[in-house]
Amino acid sequence: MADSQHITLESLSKVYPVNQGRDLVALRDIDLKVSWGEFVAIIGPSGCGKSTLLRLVGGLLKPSAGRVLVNGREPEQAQRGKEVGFVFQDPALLPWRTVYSNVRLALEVNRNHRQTRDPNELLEFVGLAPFSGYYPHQLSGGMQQRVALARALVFDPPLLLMDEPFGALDEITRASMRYELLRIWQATKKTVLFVTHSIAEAITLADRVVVMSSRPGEIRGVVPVDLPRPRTEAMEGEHEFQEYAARLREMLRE
Amino acid sequence: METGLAEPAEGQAIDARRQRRLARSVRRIAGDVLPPVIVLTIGILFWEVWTRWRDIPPYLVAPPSMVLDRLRDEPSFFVGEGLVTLYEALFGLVCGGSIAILAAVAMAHSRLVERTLFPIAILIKVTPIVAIAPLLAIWFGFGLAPRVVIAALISFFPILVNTVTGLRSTNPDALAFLASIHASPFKVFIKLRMPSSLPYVFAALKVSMPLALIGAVVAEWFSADEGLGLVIFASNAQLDTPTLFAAVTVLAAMGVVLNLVMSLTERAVLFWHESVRESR
Ligand SMILES: Nc1ncnc2c1ncn2[C@@H]1O[C@H](COP(=O)(O)OP(=O)(O)O)[C@@H](O)[C@H]1O
Ligand SMILES: [Mg+2]
Repeated sequence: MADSQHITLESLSKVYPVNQGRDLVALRDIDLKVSWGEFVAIIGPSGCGKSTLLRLVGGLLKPSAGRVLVNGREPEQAQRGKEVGFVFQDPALLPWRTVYSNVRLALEVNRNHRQTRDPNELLEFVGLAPFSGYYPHQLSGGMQQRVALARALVFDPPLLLMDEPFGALDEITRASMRYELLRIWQATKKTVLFVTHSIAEAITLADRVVVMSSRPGEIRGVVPVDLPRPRTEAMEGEHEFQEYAARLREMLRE
Repeated sequence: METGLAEPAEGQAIDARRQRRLARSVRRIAGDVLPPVIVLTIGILFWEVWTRWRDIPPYLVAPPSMVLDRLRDEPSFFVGEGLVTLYEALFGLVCGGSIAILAAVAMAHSRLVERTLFPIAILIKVTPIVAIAPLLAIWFGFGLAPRVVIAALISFFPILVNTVTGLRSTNPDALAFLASIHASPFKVFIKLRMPSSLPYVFAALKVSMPLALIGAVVAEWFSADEGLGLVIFASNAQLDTPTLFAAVTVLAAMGVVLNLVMSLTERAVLFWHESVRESR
């Protein structure tokens, strides 16, 4: 581990050029440090730049100002080294490929990467081993999202970027996916940046919750969540959990 | 799911289910095929009765029985001429389609190429191909070439436009995923863009295939010593209406068979696509 921080954002800004020279400031002066193995949730109204932030960290976008460091280097380097796993709200599986072959996709794209994981093992890990021969359209939304997670883990990246991964799921599936993700995180100890709309989701999952405000997208505050781990569904009813929820709601309302 | 471990009772249930599924597909085929066949049969009978009852001279409207006789007289003649036209149409479709797909790949790749090529493609589209057919006969002589060229030109545009659209309509998150693992543009094309465009390519092929047949037939009017187009042209000049009708019938039958082959191929290749899944 070259750098003490896994992710460092320094006065990071992103401006989108829109029609007729009117620019849209999607992110302004973001400062954030994320340490190795930390689970950080990002919450904020839609359009506040959460996806933009994740894309900057993943090297899919270039900053307009400021800088992003992943493991002390440019995100481009991390991308080249397959050190980032991306999961989106849309599972975006390839419908003509089976579950197994969707997870294998990354290996076909880059055959000679050193550190890879066996797709079958990953499917076992996310509880989908019996479905490896199925096509995506034969799976429920929650199962598709677990395939997307397995696909993102093929190169065993130390960093997972998840952009509202459970946003399109129904409430019941969503709740169970939360604990599934925690189990996986606890087993792999990856750093996770997790964008969500759900306050309960953020509290259940995260070590810290980053609250953002929109227009321009800025960090309104960072709330450390000191609930014990492993977190359980029972905690959601507890007083402490409710206090965190009230505090986050308050911060989002301001 | 684990049929291998099925109990006897369960095996019977599976048998029953298989039978029900079979019955369902028989019913579906019957439902799809029977109504048009019935309507067509009624139409043909009406036509037969009408021409005989009103004593319509065969050179104006030939009754179906006479057309059928004509086909039975010389089946090898019609099949032979039909194969010539079919060959021209398919050859033209393959040539026009290949060039269209290559151009589409270049256009989807670069806006500059698109801005350069698209006006030329529009020019090809708005030029009435039928009008330049005589000219092509002068350029390419009376061999296969002008007919294949016309079939190719006429099938070019739909395939070009649809393939460009198809190559551009890739799931953005799937693209982002591949970008996040630093996939090369070539891999992105092979693994994602190309397969995503297939539904559009098939839709275009279904439009272009009958166009290619029309192109081949029209080209034969101007520049051929063989093919169904020539048969139609010659029999029309000689007021040999039964032969003309017989040629048109063969042409229509070829169109139906080609369409069927195309649909079945599409179903097999695009088993994963909504358009095919919904029609199951
Ligand atoms: N490619 C783009 N071009 C122009 N504007 C964009 C682009 N992507 C996002 N935006 C704008 O930037 C803002 C932030 O977008 P986004 O990061 O997607 O927000 P969030 O994920 O929080 O909903 C929004 O106002 C959005 O309209
Ligand atoms: Mg978003």
